[in-house]
Amino acid sequence: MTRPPLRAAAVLDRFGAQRVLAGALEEAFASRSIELELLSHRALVAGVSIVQDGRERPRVEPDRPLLWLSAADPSPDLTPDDRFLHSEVVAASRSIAMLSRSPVVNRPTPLSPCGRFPGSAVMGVRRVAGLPGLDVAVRCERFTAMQVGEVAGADEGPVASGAEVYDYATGRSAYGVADRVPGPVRTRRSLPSARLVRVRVAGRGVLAPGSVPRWFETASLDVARSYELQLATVWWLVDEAGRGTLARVDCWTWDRSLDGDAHLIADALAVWLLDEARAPDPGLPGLDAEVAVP
Amino acid sequence: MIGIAGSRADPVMVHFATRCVMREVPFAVIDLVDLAATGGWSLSVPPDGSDVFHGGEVVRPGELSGIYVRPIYLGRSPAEAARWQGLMDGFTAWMDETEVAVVNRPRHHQLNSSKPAHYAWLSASGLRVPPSLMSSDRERLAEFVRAGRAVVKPVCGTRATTREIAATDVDALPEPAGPLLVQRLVEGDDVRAHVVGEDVVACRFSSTAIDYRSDRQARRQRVDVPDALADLLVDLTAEQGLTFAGWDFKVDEAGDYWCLECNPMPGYSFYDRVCDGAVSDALVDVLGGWLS
Ligand SMILES: Nc1ncnc2c1ncn2[C@@H]1O[C@H](COP(=O)(O)OP(=O)(O)OP(=O)(O)O)[C@@H](O)[C@H]1O
Repeated sequence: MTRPPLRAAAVLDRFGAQRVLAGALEEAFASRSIELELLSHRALVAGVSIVQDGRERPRVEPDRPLLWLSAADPSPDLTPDDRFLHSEVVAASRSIAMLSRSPVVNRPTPLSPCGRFPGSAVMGVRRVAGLPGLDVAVRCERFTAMQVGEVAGADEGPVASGAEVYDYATGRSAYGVADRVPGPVRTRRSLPSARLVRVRVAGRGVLAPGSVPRWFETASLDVARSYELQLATVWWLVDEAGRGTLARVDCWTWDRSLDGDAHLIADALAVWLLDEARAPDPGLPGLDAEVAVP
Repeated sequence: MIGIAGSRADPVMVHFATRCVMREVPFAVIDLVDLAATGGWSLSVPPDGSDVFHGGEVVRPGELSGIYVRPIYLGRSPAEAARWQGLMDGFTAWMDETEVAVVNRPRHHQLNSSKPAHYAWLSASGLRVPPSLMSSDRERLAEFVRAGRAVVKPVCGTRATTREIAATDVDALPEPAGPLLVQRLVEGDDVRAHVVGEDVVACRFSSTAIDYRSDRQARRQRVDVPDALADLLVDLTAEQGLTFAGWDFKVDEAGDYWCLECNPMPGYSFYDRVCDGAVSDALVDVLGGWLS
């Protein structure tokens, strides 16, 4: 007897910023005989119920494997009513992804809408430095804003030369800027001779340029694992001696940064899902113990 | 000295500052809204001695004994939003790494804004939670409501009035635009328990309204929750990465406590007045390490 086909759903912006990724997923999953539905958060929520009777573990109905690839539907120009509905949908879909017993790629946790990845890019990099057993260099950072009305061009500015500067006012990054800007700005020491290297973690695999030492693959996998992510992009600054400084971690994957990797990513996720769906149910840590109320 | 980081327009901040004045506890105001709009500031990660806020007063956060923070964004324009974002990115990362006591640190549970998962966690943690159903399926919702008295409430936990719902209400609803969360109604008094570190300060309300906060006649008094529950709440508050939390309960006729939610940024001033400032005092103890 043949097994019924696995049915999964991907929650993403299939008509917008993740159109290419969505297409690649459809192909990859079809070729591995997994039925894949592409859903917005709104569509996911419309078809799912969560039952909690206070005695047994929560039930998500239907409960199916999920690819959790965005935190929310795009939300331009909402009226107050629509904004409330938007928040309701976000809240509901996050609970669905958290409580589903089936495997979920980048399953949200109590700490974050995406694995355990922190809410700010800054902490996403800085916290890696504290991980036990992982010797990853990260840079110190400084955030500054001038008082509004303060005159530009005074002696001391918050923005030193030799720095990598992100200006919140313009949303632009620059290197070695010595001009004063009102800010706020985020500055880090720049590493002028280093090159930026991107390592993608997808499922159990790693996509890295052949030119970097294996260490970067292992370290990137460790970073992704520490945040409980099956899909992530880890950016390194690699100096001439081959040493790496962690520059950035992305927990969401958008078409604009796919660079031709869509099919490899999609296939790696299909393989991961098939493996996980066959594995015994590991339970949801902290969320579904059999209830024993005194 | 304690730092109070938030907005002067926030009654909870004003309440805490007033208590500090009454108790002659020195404090510094870090008005995040003003700072974002017009102030100058500099923060580093890891924190260092040059960290400073130039607002109404000059505050060096690394020199404070503790910081009570309630970031509430009040700006409107894109320029204001950008300045706020920069301040929050810097300050949040700073609070994540500082040795200074912070109520509450950034690394904490966010489940309160996603109720079904919140209930699952509360229930798995040993608390009694009323049965619930989240669904967009009108028939299932009606079935739940027909089986016993029920309330309907927001899934995301933004302040909206929880109300009782009848099966006929479900039938009368237009096809739901979004998900609905219904929960079994528990009759009885309300208890709000605040946990601050190891302390538990609770008060009890008797009202016939579904949301007692809308009932000015509600009877109110400070109470002790059972020891075993108090211990559990202290542990579960810490487990969520919180120092300060507000726990909501219904207490039924048999005296059983039913947990409704745990609020990670409690607007506690109303309850503090019922408890003669005991919650603020506990916060002062946690944040003003030099006092003990
Ligand atoms: N299951 C229930 N049975 C009876 N009353 C309830 C129930 N759920 C909520 N209430 C009443 O409604 C009030 C508000 O409910 P709840 O705390 O769940 O929602 P909320 O709007 O998110 O509140 P908050 O503003 O405190 O976050 C409760 O304090 C309680 O008095």
